[in-house]
Amino acid sequence: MTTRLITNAHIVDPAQNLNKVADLAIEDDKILAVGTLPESFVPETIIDGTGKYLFPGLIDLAVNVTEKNMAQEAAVAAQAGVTSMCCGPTISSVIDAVAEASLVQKSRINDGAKIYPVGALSIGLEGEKMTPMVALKEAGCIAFSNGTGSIKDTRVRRRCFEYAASFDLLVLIQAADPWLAKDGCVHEGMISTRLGLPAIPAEAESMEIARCLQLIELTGVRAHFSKISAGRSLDLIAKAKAKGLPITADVAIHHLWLTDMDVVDFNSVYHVQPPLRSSRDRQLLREGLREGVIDAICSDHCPVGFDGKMLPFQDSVPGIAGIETLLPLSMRLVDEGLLSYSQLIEKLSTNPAKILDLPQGGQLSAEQPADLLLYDPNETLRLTEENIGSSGHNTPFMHWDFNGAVTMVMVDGSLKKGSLSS
Amino acid sequence: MDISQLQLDSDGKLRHFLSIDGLNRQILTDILDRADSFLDITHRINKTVDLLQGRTVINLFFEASTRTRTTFELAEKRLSADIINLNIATSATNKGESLLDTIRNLQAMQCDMFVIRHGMSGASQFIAQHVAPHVAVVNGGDGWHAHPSQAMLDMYTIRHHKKNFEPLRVAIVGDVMHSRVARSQIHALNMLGVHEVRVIGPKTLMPTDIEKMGVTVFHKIEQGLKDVDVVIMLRLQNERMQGAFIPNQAEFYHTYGLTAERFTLAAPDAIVMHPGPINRGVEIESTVADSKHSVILEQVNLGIAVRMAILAMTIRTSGEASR
Repeated sequence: MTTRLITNAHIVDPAQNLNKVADLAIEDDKILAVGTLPESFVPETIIDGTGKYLFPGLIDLAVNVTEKNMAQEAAVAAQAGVTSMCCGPTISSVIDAVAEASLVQKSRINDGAKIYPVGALSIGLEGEKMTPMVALKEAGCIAFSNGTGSIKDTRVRRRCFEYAASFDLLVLIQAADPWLAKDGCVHEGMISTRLGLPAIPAEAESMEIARCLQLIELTGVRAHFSKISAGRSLDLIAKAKAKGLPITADVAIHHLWLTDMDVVDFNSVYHVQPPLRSSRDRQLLREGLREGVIDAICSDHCPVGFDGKMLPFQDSVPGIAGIETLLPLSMRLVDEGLLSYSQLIEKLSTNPAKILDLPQGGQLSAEQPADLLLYDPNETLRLTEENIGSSGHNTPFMHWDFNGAVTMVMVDGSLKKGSLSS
Repeated sequence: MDISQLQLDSDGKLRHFLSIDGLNRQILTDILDRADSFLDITHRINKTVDLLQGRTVINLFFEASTRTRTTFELAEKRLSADIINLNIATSATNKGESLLDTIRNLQAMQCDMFVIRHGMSGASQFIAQHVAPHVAVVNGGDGWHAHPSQAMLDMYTIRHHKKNFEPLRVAIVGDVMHSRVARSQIHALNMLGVHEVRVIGPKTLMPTDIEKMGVTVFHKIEQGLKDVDVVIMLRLQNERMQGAFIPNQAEFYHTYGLTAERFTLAAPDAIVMHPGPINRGVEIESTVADSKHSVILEQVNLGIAVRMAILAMTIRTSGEASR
């Protein structure tokens, strides 16, 4: 039996409405107690949390990895304070068969963040036949999605939703009308016009959301909209929530910081799907986040190799390797007064756990797995080519200076970052 | 890197020629003035000068081109450059890797300049960011983004006939959405200070927020042509006429074709331009294309002088070339 004690840390756990300096005891892989400790508890190790924040480990709803880089990226995630991550399906790694889900499950035996595979909603993401969702769920799939492509045939889509609803399975939707978004690589607006790049209008997203909402209402499926990028999508989501539809939504962290103006030099590092939108959209996304229309922030981490980005913009592979800057960029939202620490942890941990309906995780109460991190607001962080951990160096946030840094991370009580010497 | 930083050196001289956007009125005027000095040469029996003697220019065309490639080639020959022409069809897969590799291989042959046409917007800028310091890149057209040498020869043609840019109303008619020529023309006309730039076409061929580039949008050609001094017709590509962007050729001609009757709405001494190749009876009526107002063929000849000017102003001088 291993016993550890984190002392005097500022514990922020929205799930318990906890926001105070206290101690936290860990026994093996679980949290034993918070605040008042059992009299019999004798820690083998004491970690001094003075001047630091103690947060539940982050739960990232969108990480794009392949079998090949999965272990590395999971390790990098843990270093960055992400203790759980949802992966796939992507075109290169579709999880539409039980064997593949098991494979992903096996990769949970890694030294990093916990991996929750997301199964494909349709076979091969082709939008024609549904996958064996129940068997996939039993093999470990936490939710189902059709990746970045939608199920064009609305009858097939309806049946996928109905089937998922029958077993209370969660469906993740990255909304983009396949025709309006076809061949596009940037937001439609002044920038796409200047650069002569094929564009994706904001309506590609909002129209698809509107169509999905009708089907969600019809089928009763639990649905989560991933990576909302357009301000005009928020009204639809807010109204549907007010109506009581079982929906939630997230935003990718880079959409809260970047806009289509960043694309102006054809720099392929800013090529993402959905595309970076206008500064007005960014403002509306931030407001939506604060007001709770958007429930969670994800990294949409997508490591792309050098060759994938060393191309003319249109030909380059979309994606930002964002997991290492998920927390630092989110913390800037606190610095700017948009969110409190507690609201931020809700978006990064508490709500993702609720959305995924995880039996455990996303909180720091007794009996919960010891997935947690210490954050020192007085440290600083700068991502460089030398210290970046991801296999992809495709981040526009390279060389940004961040206040605050993660100093200690545990996944199931096992130390992933920091040392016990203190 | 910022497009103007990439194109201009610290003295404000051309380093690469990639896009009108990011240049300035002085540079554009310098190009036009320099073209004047070359125009005399093109009328001599011996049409060559030795400005690019001993220098190697590679015309690297990833997309088909007839007049741009031939006029660049003629311009290079008249400047006494050594020329290599490469027409590379892009394969659907792996084209990007081969793009940079192609450039690096060619660069190893000690070439001094690339003239590049590529189907992807931003391709010339991408290549300019990765060439060796002694190599200059001239954009011969990239995707829908820019075709700055074409725009400069159009400006030259306009100056040739109209002397002064300030009072001019210029109308650009047709497929603005897919036109790199139109984008470069709009930048150049505004930079040179014309009174008004108009774009005329259906919404399906107008990119979003085009007004923000400094143009007035007209959907009815009769309104748009009123009192203009210059009419620039854009080429409508066959594949765009099959119902996706406009119903068909006949309907386009009916709504936007430059007929003799419509042309009377323009100023009495208006000129008609077209980057070519023209589609008679689709964009323009033959009587207009062949009238005294038409400067379409003249554009081609003036284009050689303008491209000579661009090449001469962009190539590294010997001092800068030393490595």
